[in-house]
Amino acid sequence: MDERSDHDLVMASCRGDRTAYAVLVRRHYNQTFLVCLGVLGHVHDAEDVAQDTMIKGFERIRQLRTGSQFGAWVGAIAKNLSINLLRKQKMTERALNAEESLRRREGRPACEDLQQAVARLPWDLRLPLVMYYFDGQNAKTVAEKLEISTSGVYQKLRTAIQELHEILTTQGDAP
Amino acid sequence: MNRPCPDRQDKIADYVLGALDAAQAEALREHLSECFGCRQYLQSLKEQNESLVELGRELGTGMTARQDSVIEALQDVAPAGPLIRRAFPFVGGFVKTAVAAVLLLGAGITIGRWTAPRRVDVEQLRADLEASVVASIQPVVQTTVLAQVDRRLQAEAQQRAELALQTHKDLYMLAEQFAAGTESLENLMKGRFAELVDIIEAGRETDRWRVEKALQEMRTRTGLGLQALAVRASDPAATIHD
Repeated sequence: MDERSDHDLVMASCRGDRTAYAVLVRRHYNQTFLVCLGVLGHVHDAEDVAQDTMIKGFERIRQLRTGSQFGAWVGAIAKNLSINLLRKQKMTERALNAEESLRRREGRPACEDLQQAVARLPWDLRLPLVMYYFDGQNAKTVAEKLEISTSGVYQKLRTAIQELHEILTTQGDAP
Repeated sequence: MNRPCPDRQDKIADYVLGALDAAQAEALREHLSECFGCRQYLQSLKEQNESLVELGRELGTGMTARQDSVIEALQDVAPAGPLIRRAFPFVGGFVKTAVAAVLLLGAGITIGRWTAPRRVDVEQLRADLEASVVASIQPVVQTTVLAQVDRRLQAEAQQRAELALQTHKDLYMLAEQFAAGTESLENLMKGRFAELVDIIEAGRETDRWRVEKALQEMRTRTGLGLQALAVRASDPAATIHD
């Protein structure tokens, strides 16, 4: 276990030390992945974007002003990349078959499990939900990472679990 | 499934999230003991809660493999950008500050030039003053000139009236004199006419005398030859027969 601080690891990475950057990846990948999963809702998409995020972080690490803020910096990159991909997916979906898209949203497929139900939530509700349930169930930490109030996090979580319950219940009631 | 009380659903969700304080939680528990629909709703949310935690756990098991995959992909990536900022951390800030200072200075000079008073243009100032003076004096001058013209026109009209009156008087006097002196004028004209006749007679006499004197002179010089020539001239037939 490398005991060096994020700042030291960032400085070393700026000098081209890949080992130092690998330590940063181990330390911050989970959070990055959860951000991507929270926005995108699908594991494979989240894996791809999280990897892209880490690679971009290595390429642009000299742009980072304060090494100790690496986690927040790479999290912001992950969120932006995920939102961009989400927009592209929605545009493609609309372009390919708007009718099919509508059917999938409104039709409530019978075999949808919890993960698919999570993927159907709006991303601004899914992101705090994923960060809360998949990373220690600490609303205060989620609030700090999303830069909103703790009560705001609880409000979003409440709405998210109610909508999720609605999706799953309706799905169960469907013929 | 019985429906939960609509006004309790938010409280039940907050209860599952652990967001209620002790008093609120106790009040909700009392309600739950009496309401089957809300108890069912609570139970359903708790199961969903556990499923989400379990899902998070499942996703977490593959994290190490994902990290390995990322680190492997990084081997082919080269860090981009110059190293100068890390080697000299103050350079970026210094350069930015210098650029900002130059931009601010340039902006200040530009604004100063725009807002500074312009150099005095003497010719322009003179022209402006003249225009200003003309504009201020012109109405007064025009009024004065018009008043003078009016006065002169009035004086001229008065003089014309006086002249017409004087002419009228003179003509009247002349008519009076003419009426009074017709007889004497006739006598005067007769006298003048007699003088003119005398002058004409005197002139005739003088001409006769001069012609006679000239004939005598010719006679003296040419003798009778001239007389014969004169006879021939008065008789063309005689001249041909000769």
